[in-house]
Amino acid sequence: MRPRRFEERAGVVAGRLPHPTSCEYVVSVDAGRLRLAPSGTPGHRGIVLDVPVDRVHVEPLGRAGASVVDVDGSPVLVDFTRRDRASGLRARANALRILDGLAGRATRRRFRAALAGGRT
Amino acid sequence: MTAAGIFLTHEVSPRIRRHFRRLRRESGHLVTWHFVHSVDTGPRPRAPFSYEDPAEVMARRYRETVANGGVYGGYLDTLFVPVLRALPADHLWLMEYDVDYSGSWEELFEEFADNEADLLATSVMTKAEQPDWPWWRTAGAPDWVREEQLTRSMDPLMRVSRQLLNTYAVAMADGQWQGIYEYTLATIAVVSGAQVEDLGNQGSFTPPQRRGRIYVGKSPAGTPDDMTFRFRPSRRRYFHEAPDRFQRPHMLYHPVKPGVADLKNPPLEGPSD
Repeated sequence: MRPRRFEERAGVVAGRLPHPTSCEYVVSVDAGRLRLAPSGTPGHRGIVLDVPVDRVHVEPLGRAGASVVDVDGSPVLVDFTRRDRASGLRARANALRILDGLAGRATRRRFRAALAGGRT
Repeated sequence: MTAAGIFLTHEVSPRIRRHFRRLRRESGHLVTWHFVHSVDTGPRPRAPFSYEDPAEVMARRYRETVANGGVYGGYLDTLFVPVLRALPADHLWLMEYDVDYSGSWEELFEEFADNEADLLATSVMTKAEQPDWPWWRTAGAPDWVREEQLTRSMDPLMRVSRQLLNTYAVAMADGQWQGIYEYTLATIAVVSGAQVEDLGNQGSFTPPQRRGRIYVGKSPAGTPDDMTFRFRPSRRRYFHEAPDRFQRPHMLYHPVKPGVADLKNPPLEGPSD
């Protein structure tokens, strides 16, 4: 069975821990390769990372959408959790945070499945 | 846009301190400067703020830096990436102690205050423009990088955007990137779609309005006799100590080594300029 193509936006930063320099990239898995592209680049022409999934090891981090993606022994934090909606009333913000965390976790599950399906 | 920067030195002396004080006095309202002392060949300098461990931020590159015996010879990125990303600013300058300016630093940094380029550096050239640069021999890239994208720079004075700093640290996870950081940084900037500009010499990366205005150095046209920004030889006195020895006003100069011995040439026996 041909593995499904994956493409989503995520906050990405070098290392295992969240950091203010984190940037949004388009994360895609296709044809056995993991690719990161700056999300602001028209048509995603720029490339940040493009490696065979065989050189990638991924571990989920926490209960929401974050993963530590290890490429050639270097960790990169990839977080699919939306973090831009939790404002306003506290109860509403908490509800959105929970929903965003669940959605991020679902995206992370698809991401890991795409990586696993792309291995040779 | 906000800007911060590090003044990086491996020596500390009253003369170097005075040079830093002039920089901060004349440009501190444009760039928040920090004095950073590289106490040994390792990638953990003494800084007036905390920063992450380089082994965590750029793990693969850190291992190669250790195997190399330290940051000299092209691995300074392992040092400056964690340090610069600790600074909360949109644009981040790195200036080595042996860079000087034959005018007020204010006029130089004012020139770039509204500039939005992701990378500002000197002697920015593609491989096609400078095929005889000796460091191409150690340059490795992922197989999707095209030959015409290979680019080098010279970075005793440079500015990176916060976004490019992150992109660079993420990209360098790929073990196929090999070589001196003045190649990996410029080339990763190009392939990631970042905006790359030369500070102001000649060449294809220099915007027309800055052509020949900021420094004289190597360019695709060749090596001028009157270079102000070069690899060697060194000047021995700073501009604030002997302004009459700086023939061209309002220009960047490099290297100025006040009572500091020249480092031995890097292993390739070649200038990086």
